[in-house]
Amino acid sequence: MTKQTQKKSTKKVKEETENKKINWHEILSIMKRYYKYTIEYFWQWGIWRFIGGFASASVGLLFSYNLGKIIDIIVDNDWQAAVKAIIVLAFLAIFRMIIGYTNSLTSYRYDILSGRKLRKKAMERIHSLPISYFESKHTGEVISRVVNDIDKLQSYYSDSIAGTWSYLPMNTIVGLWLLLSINWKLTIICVISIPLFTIVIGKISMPIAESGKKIQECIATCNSYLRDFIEGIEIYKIFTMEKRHGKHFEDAVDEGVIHARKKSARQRVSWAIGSFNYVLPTVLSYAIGGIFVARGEMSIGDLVAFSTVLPPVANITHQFAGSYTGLIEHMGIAKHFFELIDEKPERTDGGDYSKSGAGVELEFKDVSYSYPNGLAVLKDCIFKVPGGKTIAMVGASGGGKSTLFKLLCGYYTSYTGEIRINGAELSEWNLDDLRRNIAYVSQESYLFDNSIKENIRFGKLDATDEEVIEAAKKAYAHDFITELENGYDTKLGERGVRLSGGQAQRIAIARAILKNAPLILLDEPTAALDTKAEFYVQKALENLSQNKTVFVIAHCISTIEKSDNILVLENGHIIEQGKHADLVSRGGRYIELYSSQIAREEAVFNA
Amino acid sequence: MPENTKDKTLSEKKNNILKDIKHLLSILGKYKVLYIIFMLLSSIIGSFMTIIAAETMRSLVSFFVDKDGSITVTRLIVLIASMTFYRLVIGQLINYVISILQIKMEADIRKRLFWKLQSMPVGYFHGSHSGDFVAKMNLDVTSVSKAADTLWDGAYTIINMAFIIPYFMSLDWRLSVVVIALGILFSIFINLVVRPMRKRSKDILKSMSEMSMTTTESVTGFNVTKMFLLQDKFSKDFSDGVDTIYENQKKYGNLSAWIGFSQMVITYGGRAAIGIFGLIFAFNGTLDVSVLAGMLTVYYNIIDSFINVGSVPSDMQKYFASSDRLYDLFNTSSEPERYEIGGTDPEAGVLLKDVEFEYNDGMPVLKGVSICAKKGEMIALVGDSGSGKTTLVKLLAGLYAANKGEIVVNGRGLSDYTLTELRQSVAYVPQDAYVFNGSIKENISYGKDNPTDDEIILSAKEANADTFIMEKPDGYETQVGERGIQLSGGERQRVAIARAILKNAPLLLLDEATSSLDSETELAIQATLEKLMKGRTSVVVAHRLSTIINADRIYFMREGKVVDSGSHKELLEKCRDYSDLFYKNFEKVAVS
Repeated sequence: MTKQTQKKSTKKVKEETENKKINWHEILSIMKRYYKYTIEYFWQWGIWRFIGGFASASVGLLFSYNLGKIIDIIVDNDWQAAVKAIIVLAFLAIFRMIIGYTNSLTSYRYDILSGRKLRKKAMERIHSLPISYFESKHTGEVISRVVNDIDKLQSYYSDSIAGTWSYLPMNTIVGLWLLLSINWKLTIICVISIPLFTIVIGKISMPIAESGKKIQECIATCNSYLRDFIEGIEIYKIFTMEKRHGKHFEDAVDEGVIHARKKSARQRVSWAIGSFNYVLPTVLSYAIGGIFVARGEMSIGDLVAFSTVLPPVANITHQFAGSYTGLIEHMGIAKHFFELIDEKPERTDGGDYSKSGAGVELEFKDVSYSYPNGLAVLKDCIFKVPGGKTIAMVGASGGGKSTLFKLLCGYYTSYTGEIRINGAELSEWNLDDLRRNIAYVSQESYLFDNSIKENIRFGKLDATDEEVIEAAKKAYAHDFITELENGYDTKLGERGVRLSGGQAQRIAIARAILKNAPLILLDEPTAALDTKAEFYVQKALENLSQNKTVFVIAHCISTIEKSDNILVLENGHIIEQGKHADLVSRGGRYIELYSSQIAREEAVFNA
Repeated sequence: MPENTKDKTLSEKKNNILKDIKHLLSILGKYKVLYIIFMLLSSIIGSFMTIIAAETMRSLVSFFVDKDGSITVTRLIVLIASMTFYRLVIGQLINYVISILQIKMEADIRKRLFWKLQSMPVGYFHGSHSGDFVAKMNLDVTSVSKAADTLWDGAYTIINMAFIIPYFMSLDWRLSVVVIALGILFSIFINLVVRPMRKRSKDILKSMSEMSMTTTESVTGFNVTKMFLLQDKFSKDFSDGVDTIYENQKKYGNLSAWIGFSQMVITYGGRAAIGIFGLIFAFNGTLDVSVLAGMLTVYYNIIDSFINVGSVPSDMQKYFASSDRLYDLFNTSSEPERYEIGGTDPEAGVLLKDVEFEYNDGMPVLKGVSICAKKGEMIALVGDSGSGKTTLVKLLAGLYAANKGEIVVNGRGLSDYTLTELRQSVAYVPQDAYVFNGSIKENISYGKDNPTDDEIILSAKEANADTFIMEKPDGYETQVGERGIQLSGGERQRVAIARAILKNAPLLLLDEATSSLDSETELAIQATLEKLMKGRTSVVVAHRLSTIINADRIYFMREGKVVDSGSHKELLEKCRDYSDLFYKNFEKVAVS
């Protein structure tokens, strides 16, 4: 996280706590956005669901009305009316069946098409985000946005936008019209209480969204505990961490329960009031309607019709309450989703300053960099690397060496000073072009859940099988790969767990060889390996580094001595630089490091 | 998780609903009795109130139409009042209690699941993708809640039918027959559609879990994705996955629309039938108008029941698959309390005799290994990667059970220890030190139950970690991030060592890291480790000459066997392979 975004996020938290009230403006704008995102599908499918909602509501009410009226027909013993009623009922019923089919089909299509689009959008955004985003977020969180949240969003929206919001108003309009036409006085008496309770429901439902969000957060925490357990299982078992982590996990679950209870209580109360809205009119219609019938102001058939049509109308608030709580809850999720979409992507501007031939030239002019928390990592670094040369960085861990590499890769933007690559300032480069020029091999290389062949081919996506094998040979990986049962088609598990460290490293190097970038960044690629493994990896690296500009973080003396320039980094400062011989003769910090390294290498069985 | 075998058992179980329900109830655990009680209570009261509603309507109509005086105003008032009270108070209360029960049940399942997973052997998770795993668990847990919901629906349906159908019959059997016939037709039709829908929904789930895996890859491998400009390629893969989901969902949706259709058939077709036949019968003079009004009122309820008869089994199918999976998991055997691997030698700190071991994949890793260290001795395991050194250490730590042979730790056979005891007497520093999300302090504190701050700091100092920790802005409270991303490799390692120091166990297992640390720190740490080894039985996967020279005995391993053993000097003299390995490396140092 950069400093600015951190600031922003703390500000956001403050804002959230400040206005716990529902911001209608915000809800509306989120809904608008969602609608805009899925507009094509709305016009393709959603609209039919919308119209279907109108139709189903009106047909349903007309049906109820006609059904109620048959009481009158019977009482009046009117044959003609009976025949008419039979025809009307049959027609309406068949019509309603057809709508039932289309409604289900169209709403689901709208639902899944939107989901597909949102997922793609989210992934597109994730791929364009700067590294700092991932470093500040737990992956479980990011994943659940794409996987779980969208699922909930899409079905809610297709249900509500296309469903509820079409038949709700229709129920109101057609229902009221029918009721009024039966008996306007009774209608007014029965319906008058509805708006009042609706407002109360609105008030009560407000904090539900907040609870919904908190529940999600708790689940995300639980997920991260579970992931931690699965990935760190060996340490976990040996240090018998079960009890303690189990307790942490339980705490997270319990916190979720608290929020869920709050949510449920509120929901229940708002439903109860919703029921009041539904029950009171029914009771009134029976009681007052009965008096009207007794007085002869309306027929008994009218009363039956009235009480059959009334429930869906009175139910409006009930449904409204349901859709309202749903709305607020899902607005929280939608907000989460759009927060992801709104994350500032990496810049895509800038030009390509690649050079053919002698490797990349680097120049650092007074470069300083601090972490978002203010801790300075690099201070006024000045050095130059001519094309095709090898430069080594030495110094205690935590001295900022890896950070310097990350700067070169364009991961962090908030440095001061100038970083020139092939003469152009980093900010003038297009980041994709820049990265095309760099092959980065770290201590622990990430391999994907994919076949070995695919993993190597990630270095150059259009590489032929021959090129892949050629690269594997240069990386000294060919032999062990062919010894595997499925050879190049062997699938690697998560993080390549089924390979030894050295094997994984060589595949990563094969991948880098295939990429054939002119600048090689090596962040102690052999650090985690034992002798035999290191031996081959070292040879593979030699193949990778031929005729390239090589920038290496190293402890191994042979590598350091051979390099054309050595930077000694300490606490973010470059305190010495020069060739090995110069630095030795100077007798400064380098010689101290050097002698301790010699002592160590002598002590290391597998030098 | 071994997916195939589970699918097989699922298909074997077919649609044995009773068994599914039994499984579900067993997962619900301690809440199941309460849940069942409330489930039945709400169903009975709900069904009863439906009849009250119908009676109200019937009484109302006959009060006005028949005017025979058999219906009193008091009766009407009582009927209406009881309906009102139910709707407003009783019904809401019951629902509230049930929703709280469900929340608690879900939380309880989550917790028990986590405990259960924690108790599973390491091999259970072998090769499973953590993101995929987590997503699946979440889905399964929420599905169990839904399964409980459908169970409730099912109970309500049955009870409701038991109440309403006799009532309906008593009103007019002819109309009842029409309605019930329609309902049965509907149920048959639904069943026809549901079968292929099940297959589709399985397809959807599968493609969903694949997508979640691709997502995890993109997010966890962001570093490589960026540097190799793989965004487009991954976006395409992802988008293909999403398209597959869509295609599966589309097929599912086409089928499910027929359910929408048939629901309308029964809702409106049934009401129309009552209306039309009612009219005819009434004109015949064989049906009382008040009875017809009562039937129309109750019909809503009958439809609901028939719709449930159609949807409950399909919902059950959908959600019970999850509860089945969880049930299987809950009933998969956890780690045994102890491993049945004997051996006695009161003198031995560590003893392995003819130990054989293979992982689940059937590839033998250890092929009859015997090693021995007396109490307090330090032995070194030397050999190329893949020779089984690390596996051997993991056996000693009780992470895996050996297939054959004897193992003694600290004078007692392995079967003498519970796994917890065994692990408590072992400190393990692996090569790749995993640190857990949380603060540095927490990570160190895992070495001991409730350590004091002083103990933690002392261990950190001994592990040479105190300096770098104090340099962090939040010191010991610094959050290490997921997989310790905020720490460098060397820092992670030192945290791991501090953790082991704090544990202070009699057996030290050390998988030496070659050079994750810069040389100065490393020399210092080495001194610490040497101090740590003193007085303890230590088994070290060794890379350093100093370790090897100090070792009481060296075991030279190759391809799962001990090739030779002895002191460094002895081995140099008598073992050709060993001296080759050594001199090759020694020369490398000498030349540089």
